[in-house]
Amino acid sequence: MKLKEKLKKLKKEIQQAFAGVEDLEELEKLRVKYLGQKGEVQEIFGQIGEVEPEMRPEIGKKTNELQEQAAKLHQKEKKRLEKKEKKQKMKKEKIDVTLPGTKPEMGYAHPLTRGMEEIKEVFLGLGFSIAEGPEIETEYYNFEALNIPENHPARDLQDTLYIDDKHLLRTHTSPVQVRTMENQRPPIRILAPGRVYRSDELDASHSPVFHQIEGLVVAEDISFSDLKGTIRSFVSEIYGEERDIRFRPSYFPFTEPSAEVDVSCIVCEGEGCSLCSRSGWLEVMGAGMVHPNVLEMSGYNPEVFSGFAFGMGWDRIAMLKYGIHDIRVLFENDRRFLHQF
Amino acid sequence: MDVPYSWLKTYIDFELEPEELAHTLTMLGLEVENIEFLGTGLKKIVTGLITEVSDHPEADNLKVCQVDLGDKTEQIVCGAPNVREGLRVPVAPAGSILPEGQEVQEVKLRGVTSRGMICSRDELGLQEERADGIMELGSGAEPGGSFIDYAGLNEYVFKIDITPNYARCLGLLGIARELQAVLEEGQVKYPEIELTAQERSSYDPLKVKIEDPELCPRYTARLLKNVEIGPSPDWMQKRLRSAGVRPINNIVDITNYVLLEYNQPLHAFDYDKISSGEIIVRRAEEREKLITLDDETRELTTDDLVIADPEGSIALAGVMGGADSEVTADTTNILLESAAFDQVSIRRTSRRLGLSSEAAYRFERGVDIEAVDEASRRASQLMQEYAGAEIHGELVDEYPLPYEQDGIDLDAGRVNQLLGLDLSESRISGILKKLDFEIEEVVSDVLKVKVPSYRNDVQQEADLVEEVARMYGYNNIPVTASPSRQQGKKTEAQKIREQVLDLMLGMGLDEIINISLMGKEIYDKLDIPADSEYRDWVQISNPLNESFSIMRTTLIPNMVQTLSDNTRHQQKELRFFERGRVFRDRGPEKRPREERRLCGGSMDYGRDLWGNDAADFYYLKGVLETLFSRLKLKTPEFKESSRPFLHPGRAADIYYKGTKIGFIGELKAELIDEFDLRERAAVFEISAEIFIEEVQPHSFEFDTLPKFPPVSRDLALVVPRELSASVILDDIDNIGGELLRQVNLFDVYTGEQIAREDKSLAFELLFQAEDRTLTDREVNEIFNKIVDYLKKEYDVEVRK
Ligand SMILES: [Zn+2]
Repeated sequence: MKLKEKLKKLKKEIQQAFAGVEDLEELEKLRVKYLGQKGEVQEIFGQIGEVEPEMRPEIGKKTNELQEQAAKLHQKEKKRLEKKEKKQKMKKEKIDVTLPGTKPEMGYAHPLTRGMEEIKEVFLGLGFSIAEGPEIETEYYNFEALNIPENHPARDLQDTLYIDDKHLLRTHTSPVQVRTMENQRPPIRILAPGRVYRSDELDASHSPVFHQIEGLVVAEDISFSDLKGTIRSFVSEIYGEERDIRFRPSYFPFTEPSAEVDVSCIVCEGEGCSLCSRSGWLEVMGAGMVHPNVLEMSGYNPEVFSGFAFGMGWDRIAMLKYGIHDIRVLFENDRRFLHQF
Repeated sequence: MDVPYSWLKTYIDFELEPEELAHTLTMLGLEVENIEFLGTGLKKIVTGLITEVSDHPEADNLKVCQVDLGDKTEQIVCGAPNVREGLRVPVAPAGSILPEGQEVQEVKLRGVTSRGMICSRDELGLQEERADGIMELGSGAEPGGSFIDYAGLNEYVFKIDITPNYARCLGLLGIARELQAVLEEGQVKYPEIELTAQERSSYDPLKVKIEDPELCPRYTARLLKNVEIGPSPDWMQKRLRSAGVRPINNIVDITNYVLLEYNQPLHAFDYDKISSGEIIVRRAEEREKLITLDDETRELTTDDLVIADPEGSIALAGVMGGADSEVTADTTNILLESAAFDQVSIRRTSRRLGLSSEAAYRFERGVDIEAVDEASRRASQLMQEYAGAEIHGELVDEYPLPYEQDGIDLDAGRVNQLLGLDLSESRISGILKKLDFEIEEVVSDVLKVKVPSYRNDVQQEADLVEEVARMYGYNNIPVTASPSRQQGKKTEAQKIREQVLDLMLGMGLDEIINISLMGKEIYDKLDIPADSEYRDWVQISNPLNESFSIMRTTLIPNMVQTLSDNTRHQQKELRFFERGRVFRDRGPEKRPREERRLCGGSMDYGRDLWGNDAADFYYLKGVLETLFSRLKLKTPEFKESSRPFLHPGRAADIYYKGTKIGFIGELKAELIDEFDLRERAAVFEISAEIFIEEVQPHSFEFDTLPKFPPVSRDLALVVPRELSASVILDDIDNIGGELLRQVNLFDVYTGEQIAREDKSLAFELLFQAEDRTLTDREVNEIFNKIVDYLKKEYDVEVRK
């Protein structure tokens, strides 16, 4: 057979062979058969020397064309079969999408921390900065500078743990008010969160250690209505817009006028239930206008500056918010509890 | 303070139901904590008269009674020993329920019908312990009448939290005055007092001498003769009981009654025991002794004020009477004291002696000095009426420091500015007048306000501002937003602390919070020796109990306890951290040191990366390394060390830039048992102050990314077992120079293929240049240099 015919025949054969192939293995076999080092196309190249010299360029060219076409064809089929194979493979790889996921393990922040962060964010938004102070305080900062002189009955309001004649464990975060006023000039807008101590037995509703958040604003022309505005914003953010707020007269030595702030009960909406002792209200914080004696002791002229302060127990807020009935749970660090927040 | 509703109502008319009254009082600043109905569960109990008692035909210990209940007579079987004809008794009729929940029904007791139950005190919930028999009522108990009406239990009692500035409301008249200020109608009805006095004979001397007017600005004494000590009238006993005061006898009850009306403590002396009828109010002598009413001998100091006669002290002024001059059943003549004492002095004495009394409680909060005589008159009248007392002579009234009031200037503009209101000066005047303040004059919007004598809480302008606010209504004051010209900011330290928190949480540790007061016991349990600095505790001088007697010096004990508690709850793979302050004593009178710490604990967690069963140790170490790296701090160094509570071969101190900042280690084996941990556990504690000092929150420098590929070489060494990996790592790093980008230790092996005293360490070394692809020759050169150095320096062998 003449080489030219052979070429023609081979071309046809290749086209048919590739068209009929159904898996990659077979395709590879065909590639080796036709396009391999010892394949049929190579074979033709090897035989070119045997034809008449004038025919050689033409046959050479045609063989080249055949090789290219075959290679293209092979590529095309290969792609097609690969695609097909992937499809089949994926078909076999079907999984049960309802099996549980592999969970990245993240730690849980303590609910007191979470609550605190939330409260901080609210007040940062209202222009407050965060202030801190020592937990071991002096008589002066914890009492005297807050208008609680020695031998005043107001000292009975807090059972104090003492270290020695001069030092005690702060009974409230209010000393931070005084420390801040001593070190800064107005306007002052601070939030002082921290740990406080009382001589209380640990039971369901008391702990010798708990946490408070104190706020202080001092500037010219600060009024009681501004205090109400700040507390309104806070209550809306933390307890929800729909809460009613009630202010009633109370007593703190370092504020005058003083108020206790109640919000409508989060459980019964004011109807009365066991959480609110059937009053419909929950006491959430104490507040008031900074007492002129306190301003004066910190070196501020009460004729020029006025301010308000507020303070709340943040353990209590967390307990209300999360429906915790026993404060001890907060300090037991039971992981089953921690992992609920 | 316990305030009975109906008693309060005798001083002022109001239409308010108990709930409404509670609300009104609360909004006045007199917080009603709860309302108790004394007759709870007793509304159906009636009073009955036993008209006939006969024996039960079948039971010796039972009687069959006919009980007159007014409109009917019921047959009731009763087994009480004191049942008898003519007795008036409380009866629970058939169909009623007793306070304890017991249902009373018509029953047949051994064949005899019983329609109800005659009750004892305990069955009615009036006493805890079991009574001997049925309750016997007085002649006032009408058949068929309401038992709670008879017994004074048809009463609502308000528990009011009286804050120190409301001392005036420790008397019912004070509360009535507060109500008067807010109620539309209703005037305070002060008791009408009429006294009939006779001349005091010269045989009955009565003299008062005040030696220290600062401590006793007013003292009154009255002589009441021929009193008959006996029970006080029924109505008074009921009122006292409902206010939580136990009736004793007419004289004591009357002084208590007036105390609750006027908030004026009174004291009745046995006049005949006072030498020459002379009262001397003086400071005690140093070490003077006095036996008080509670039969305790008190040793006094010159800071204490006493009531004395010429022979010696007879009472601790304003705190407690003396035993020697006490009114007894034999007393016939009384000296009635009504006085005012210095608040601070009373408080000091009462505190120093640990002696609290109703009188001291009120005196240290202040009484109405102008009403001292009025209270005396009231008590005298009641004693005249209910104790047959004869009043001899006028009141002896020593009043060396009369009440004076300069008046307080109240600027209407200031009121409005402080409250955010716009009240006229006349509106403010009107409000204050309702509270008995007098407005002496008004000069260009400044009110000169005279304060009534019972308002010792009002001392300056701010106090008046509060009164205006209180009467105007806190809830009527508008809500405004005080505009902030500042931006709310966290300090850098606060931001760093939050970053630490986020990183610890992100690495999968749970945050715990412990109480920073603790007991010493757990330090013993942790084997912390007596001379350890962990025992430089800050001690609480007045601890409530041993378990909260010191401040923690380390977070470790609580961490171990937390691991233990969670193990008990079958929790596995525990990882915790705590951020908190620890406290160190620095010697007497010095402020103790407070330091923030970060503590971690892990149990039963982590991969056994190095095949040495120390997964928790390396997990926590990894946590610290990641923490430091993510805070862009240098890697801390870990150097072998020991701690009393740590495994001797698995503990390290942690250094940062050469300074020791904490430690890490596995708990020693004994503690695993001691704390029921069941598994190995590791802990660390470091100073958290280091983060604040070292973290540079604003450094954003980064290294440019390499453009040329790294070349990797593995190096396996056999080294002596005790040689620390970090030593080799450091050396490789040093010798490798600039072109050695990274060294990773990826395998540690001990076992059959190498000698027993050796271990094999496998490192991956990555070489890379910034400006070119490194050739094999270059890399080999450095690699060989490293190998040569290590061979020379240590007894190492390179494994091929
Ligand atoms: Zn409720």
